[in-house]
Amino acid sequence: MSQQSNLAVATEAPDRAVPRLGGGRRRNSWRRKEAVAGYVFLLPWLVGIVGLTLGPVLASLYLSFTKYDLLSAPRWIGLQNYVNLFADERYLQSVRVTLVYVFISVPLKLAFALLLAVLLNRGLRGLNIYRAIYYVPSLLGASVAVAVVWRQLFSGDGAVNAVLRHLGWHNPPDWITSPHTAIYTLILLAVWEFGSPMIIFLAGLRQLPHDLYEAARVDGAGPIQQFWRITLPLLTPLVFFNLVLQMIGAFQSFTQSYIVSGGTGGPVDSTLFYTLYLYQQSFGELHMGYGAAMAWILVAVIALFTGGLFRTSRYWVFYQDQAR
Amino acid sequence: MLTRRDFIRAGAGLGIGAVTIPLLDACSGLAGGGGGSSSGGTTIEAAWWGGSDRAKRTQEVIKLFEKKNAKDKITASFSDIDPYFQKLNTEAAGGGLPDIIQLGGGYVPQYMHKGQLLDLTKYTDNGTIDVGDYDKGQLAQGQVDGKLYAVSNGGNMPSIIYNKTMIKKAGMPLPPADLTWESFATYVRQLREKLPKSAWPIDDASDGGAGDAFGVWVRQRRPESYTKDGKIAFTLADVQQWFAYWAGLRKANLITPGDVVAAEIQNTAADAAPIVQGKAAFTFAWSNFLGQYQILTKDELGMMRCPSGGKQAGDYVQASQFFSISSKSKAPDVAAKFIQFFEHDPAALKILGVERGVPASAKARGILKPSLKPYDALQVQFLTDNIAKCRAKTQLDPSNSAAVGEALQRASQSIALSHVSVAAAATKFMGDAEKALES
Repeated sequence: MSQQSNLAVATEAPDRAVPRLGGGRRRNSWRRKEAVAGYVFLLPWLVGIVGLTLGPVLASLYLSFTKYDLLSAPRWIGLQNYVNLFADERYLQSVRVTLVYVFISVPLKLAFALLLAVLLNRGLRGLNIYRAIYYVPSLLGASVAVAVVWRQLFSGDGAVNAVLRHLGWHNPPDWITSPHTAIYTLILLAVWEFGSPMIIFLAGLRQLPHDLYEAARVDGAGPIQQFWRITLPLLTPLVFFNLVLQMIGAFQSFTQSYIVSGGTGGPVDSTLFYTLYLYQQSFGELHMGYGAAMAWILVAVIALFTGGLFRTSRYWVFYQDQAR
Repeated sequence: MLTRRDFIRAGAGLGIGAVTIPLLDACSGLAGGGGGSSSGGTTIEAAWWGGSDRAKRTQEVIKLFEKKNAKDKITASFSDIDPYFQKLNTEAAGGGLPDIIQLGGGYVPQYMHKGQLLDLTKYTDNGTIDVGDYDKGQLAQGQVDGKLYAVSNGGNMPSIIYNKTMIKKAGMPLPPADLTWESFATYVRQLREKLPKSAWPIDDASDGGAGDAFGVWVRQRRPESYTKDGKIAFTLADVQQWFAYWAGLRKANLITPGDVVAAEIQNTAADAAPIVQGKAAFTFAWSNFLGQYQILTKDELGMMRCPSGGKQAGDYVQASQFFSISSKSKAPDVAAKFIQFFEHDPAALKILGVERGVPASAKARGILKPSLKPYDALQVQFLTDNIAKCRAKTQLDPSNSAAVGEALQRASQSIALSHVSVAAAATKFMGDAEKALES
């Protein structure tokens, strides 16, 4: 940190220190030109962010206070959408389903990613190949094809049950059509996409200072002790980073449930993700204002959770450059 | 090692991620299309939903039309049903609907009330579109407030499709043509004893099934499923009796269990249907499903009317889809000419077959029949026989009736999979249905 802020100061300071001589004006106009050029180069991005992101975002905020069915003009109804949401049983069910999904899938995924990163970091031959293989699911995970495969794997006469029957479980449940187990097949699918946090953990592991481990070994610490006392504390910034990123992603999950449940969120709403219900309301029943209100509540909730994580981070995230 | 500042910088870009979902909500009007003139001729756009078979047939008819009307060009756009209506709704919001639009029942009044559809009465009056010999129900379903806004592309009926081979193999006589709900139950009870354990007599249709079985049940007791002002017309008692009927069958192991039905809902492809997989002998389905089921199984399939009961006939011929013309079309005359060609030209009829349903025009049915495959001919015969026996449905379902169907499905599943009582599920469904129709 200190190094970086020093750099920033170093680039600014000489400018201010330059004595104002006669060439000041010309110099100023030259700087203005440079600034204009800068903005021109920025223009495509600016147009994109204002026209395609900020504009629609603000429009959706407005729509969330209206009744809007896409075909007729939006009608202002104030907070009614927000009030109605909390009396909507299916909405509350979608909140429950999403919270269960986030709270179970994210920690499991991170634990699994860390475990594999540690295993892969043990000077394996062909590490790059393994790394690529384990990363592939992350590339595929949110895709339609994998969700379709998942549905086949976990259906009543699917591959998973064929294996289970072979192992002697004569009457295994139909995992994706039972309201008690369906959500867990989606959680498993999420955990299977552990690739991107794993790559990040792996990058972190490779930078850990060797001298600490040497010292620990000299002091007689075993591998498990080394993990808990050295590896994990030094990796906490990465755990934090992955946690925030994965949590935000999990709150927004959509494709898996949409494909596996055939767009219904079933059986019996057991896989009704928040975003799936938002989609059903907006594009199925054309309750666009209602959907926009749901989206804004999701934004607020994600901001709240992310803020909460940042708040707690000071108690458990350890930065090496930080005086403790 | 990573520093806090690095992390915060990396994290700063994240906040916007969550906002990309409302983005979907807000980007409404990016539509193109519409009519226009090019090099002396007129080009119009026609849009429909459906699979590759339908696309092939439709485009062949378009080519034929263009050959006979050298000045007119038709550009086609088609997709699956879900993305189709998402795109169409967006185009409607932006005022850029295609000239010819394929619509399903609920959408006709919805689009009409929003001023999106052209009143076609002018064209039926001046003879451009000929609906003189149309089946009354199918014609009426395209009307709103007495004016024609949509012309039926073909009709189907709620029906029961059954596996003749399976029943014969079990040593049972085929079911008689006319059954009541009670005698149907008695029949399948006998069938149960002779069927292998891996199969069930009926594919559970307490969720409405693949046809409108619940609608038939309601219409046997009430004039229509919905009142004229778009509220539900059935009562809590109707729903309770419906669920209780199926609960009785379920208890006796006469219908497919909840997990089989749930799998069918998750995978709506025809080859996953229990009737095709040999898991059920009877299934409630739209009559036009016969063809797609028959090509997927070696067993011989047959069809019959839904069981009778209540006070009156409940089944009806449904216009399975319509053609409408956009109110903003720049070349409505060409569009009307194409609709007439599509519905009446003998060559076009033969290309289209019954893929969109059985034609509403009696003359068209006559032209079509000799060229059909046996199972398609059976379907045409089934409709022709029953148009008089069933009770025409002259009123379109309200626009959010699809949400009522979804609520019925959830209630039915909650009984089959979560052991919710019939009474509780019926009450829940009534509440959900009323709410779905509020807006």
